Amino acid sequence: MFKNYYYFIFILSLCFIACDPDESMEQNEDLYDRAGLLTNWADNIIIPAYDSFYNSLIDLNGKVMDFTQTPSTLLLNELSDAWLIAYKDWQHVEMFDIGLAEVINYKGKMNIYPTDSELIEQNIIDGDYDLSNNNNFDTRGFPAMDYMIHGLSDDPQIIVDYYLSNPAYTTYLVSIIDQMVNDTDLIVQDWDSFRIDFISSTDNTATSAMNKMTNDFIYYFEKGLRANKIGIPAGIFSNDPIPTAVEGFYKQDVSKELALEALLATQNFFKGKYFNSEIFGASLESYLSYLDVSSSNDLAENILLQFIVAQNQLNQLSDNFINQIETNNMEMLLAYDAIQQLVVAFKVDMLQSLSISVDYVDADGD
Amino acid sequence: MQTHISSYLNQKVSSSPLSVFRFFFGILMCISILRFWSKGWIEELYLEPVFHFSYFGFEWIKPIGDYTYLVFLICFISSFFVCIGYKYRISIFIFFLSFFYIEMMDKTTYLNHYYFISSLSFLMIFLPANSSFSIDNIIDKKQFKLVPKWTLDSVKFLIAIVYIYAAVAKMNSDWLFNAMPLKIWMSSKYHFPIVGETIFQQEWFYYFMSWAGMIYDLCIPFLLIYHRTRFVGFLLVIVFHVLTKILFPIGMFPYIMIFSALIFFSHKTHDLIIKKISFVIDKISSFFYEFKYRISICDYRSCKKGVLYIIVFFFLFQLLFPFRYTMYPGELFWTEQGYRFSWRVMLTEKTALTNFKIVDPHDQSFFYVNNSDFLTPFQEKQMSFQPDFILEFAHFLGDYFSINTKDSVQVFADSFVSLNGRKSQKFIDSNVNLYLEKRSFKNKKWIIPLKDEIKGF
Repeated sequence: MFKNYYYFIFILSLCFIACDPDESMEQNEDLYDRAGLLTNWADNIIIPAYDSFYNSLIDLNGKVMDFTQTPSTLLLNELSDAWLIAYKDWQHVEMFDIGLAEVINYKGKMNIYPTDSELIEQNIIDGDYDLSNNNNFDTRGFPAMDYMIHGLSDDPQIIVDYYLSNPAYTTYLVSIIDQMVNDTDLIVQDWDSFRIDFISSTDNTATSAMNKMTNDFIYYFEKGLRANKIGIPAGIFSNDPIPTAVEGFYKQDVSKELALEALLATQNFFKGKYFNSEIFGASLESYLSYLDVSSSNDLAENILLQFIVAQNQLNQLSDNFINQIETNNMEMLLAYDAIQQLVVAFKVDMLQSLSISVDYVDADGD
Repeated sequence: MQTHISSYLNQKVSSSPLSVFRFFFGILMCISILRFWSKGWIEELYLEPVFHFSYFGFEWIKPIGDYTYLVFLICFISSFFVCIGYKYRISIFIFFLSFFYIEMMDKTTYLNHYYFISSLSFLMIFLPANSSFSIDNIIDKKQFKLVPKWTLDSVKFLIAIVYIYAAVAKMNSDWLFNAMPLKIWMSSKYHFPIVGETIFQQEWFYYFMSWAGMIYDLCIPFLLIYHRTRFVGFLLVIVFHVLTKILFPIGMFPYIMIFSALIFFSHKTHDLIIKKISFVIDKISSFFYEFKYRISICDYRSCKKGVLYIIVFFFLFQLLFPFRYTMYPGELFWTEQGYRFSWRVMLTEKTALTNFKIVDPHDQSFFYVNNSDFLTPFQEKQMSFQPDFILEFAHFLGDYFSINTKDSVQVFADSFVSLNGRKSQKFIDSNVNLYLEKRSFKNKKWIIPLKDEIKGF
């Protein structure tokens, strides 16, 4: 008798747990649509950004061909402009280190700086180099092109003369752009099929697209943006500043432009803004606003406000980061601090609300 | 009072529950070590890292290169011997020592259930767990029908302490009134079939699970002790631990607790278990050879008086040690001073970002350290929200970066922590040179207090 009573309580509590799903649905209709989030990311942000970037690479390729066929300061100038446009478009895709991009180390082939100008010169002399080989990790991509277009000399006419007198320079410049175009083409093609896997990978597990993309975004923000563009050159991670480590070192006056573009790209991603449009879709912002934990802390709003603060702080800097560092590095540090606050918001507050681990930690917890 | 104690100490019970407990404990430990080895964690956690966090006072216990595998091998072999009851006293002692060594090598891998295993194995050194159902019986040609009741009760007592203290740990405002951190953990498991997008997203469910968890922990020892509720209690044990196994990455802990709960059953159950297992073993071994042995059944096996003092001291420690946090100011969940070794299992969710600034005192030039240059992701995660780790790492960095400088560098920490869903807050006073702070049990004044209050234990 007594025992039966306990059985009854036990079964009842099990029933309690296995509650009627229909009833639950009524109470909570606006369940967050993660597939929708991933779809928005893939269809309205990632793929269009890659398409646009690919097109500007094709334009850049065209300008390389024009210039190398008949080198002149005029065509060199046009080449430089095309390089900058493509470089700015690149800021919108560097963070998507997922899928094929991750497999082939795409960003490691496109934007490692500072570039090794000596090794580039050596490659040009030797003639037998393989840009896909990892020995050449800092002699390719945008930074290498920066050197080939702006770094050979202070005088544009002398740069033109290099190409006029030595065909090896043309060969190398063409190899650089060829590799960039080929790799980007592979990735654009891959997204046709990868898209399906991406959108359906909504689980909260270490290998899901949801987690990986969030981690990639944060990783890019912390390393690609904060450290590479500002922190390392300003000497945050070393005893002294390293002005030679800025992005666009040879062009000299585009570092701020590129940094602002990157900040805009990350802000747009956070807000779920369609690429090249004023429509906003599902995003980390909307997800955080949906979740109880983060919405009660106004996390999304605070992040948006901090983006504006960081933007303002970046705007204070000179176009030429090298000058900025050498004349008043304190401003660089202030910009760094403003961006750092966003890193804290992402890595601590956002990750806790989403209950995503920073890195896959394969160990027992307790 | 005295007569009550001595009459209790003289009580006898069947030896089978303790022996079965020993048997399963040994098997589970064998499996645990094999599992750990096969996952490559010996390499990953003890050999690959260049730096290891140590327990204060136990810095001399370190991984010993490839010989670390030897420690695990010794642990495995001794656990197997414990299981079959071969040279039990030596085996359990060696198991305890090797397991303790493994546990102490790196603080990063601290787990409450490792503490449980080392406490339990220490206790078992002094218990006559090879009185029956063991190879020692065959060798010594005798087994014991009865053992002192207190030896069996001591295991039950330890298990009861673990559950009750775990319940008391959950009696705090975050857990009971904010349903934290279960709210974060459950809602993130949205990909679970059927329940993931339904009840796991319900507010009431988080409160239900929090309260149910606390009530379960509190009541289960009593449900198991009282024979009328024992069976239901055991079912609840299975349900609870299987549930936690599915939801959280907690390794072998659920199985260990399920099998430990068996000890509360009567000797009849255990006699049955022994009978079944012996039957299987006999069947298997009869394929190899007919092993004839004679065992005389002895009546009662007693324990040395001195052992009692050790046991009493052991339990005093178990009862009092978890309360040492009261000697420190500040919020326990935040400062973590006195947090470990007190059965605070799966209690908080902390996320953090901690970076270190190295300053040259001569010219005030500084740089920030890339933690990943020295720490694995796992270590970095554990370090970021535990002040003792932060201090130890700060000292390591200070030593490392002072090698080539005339005077010591200064080490400052920039640290932000989020606790149980709160907005992130600065954790460490970034104006304190941690390199000058000494490692000790004293209160760490450089922890910035939590801007909130958590009531309860």
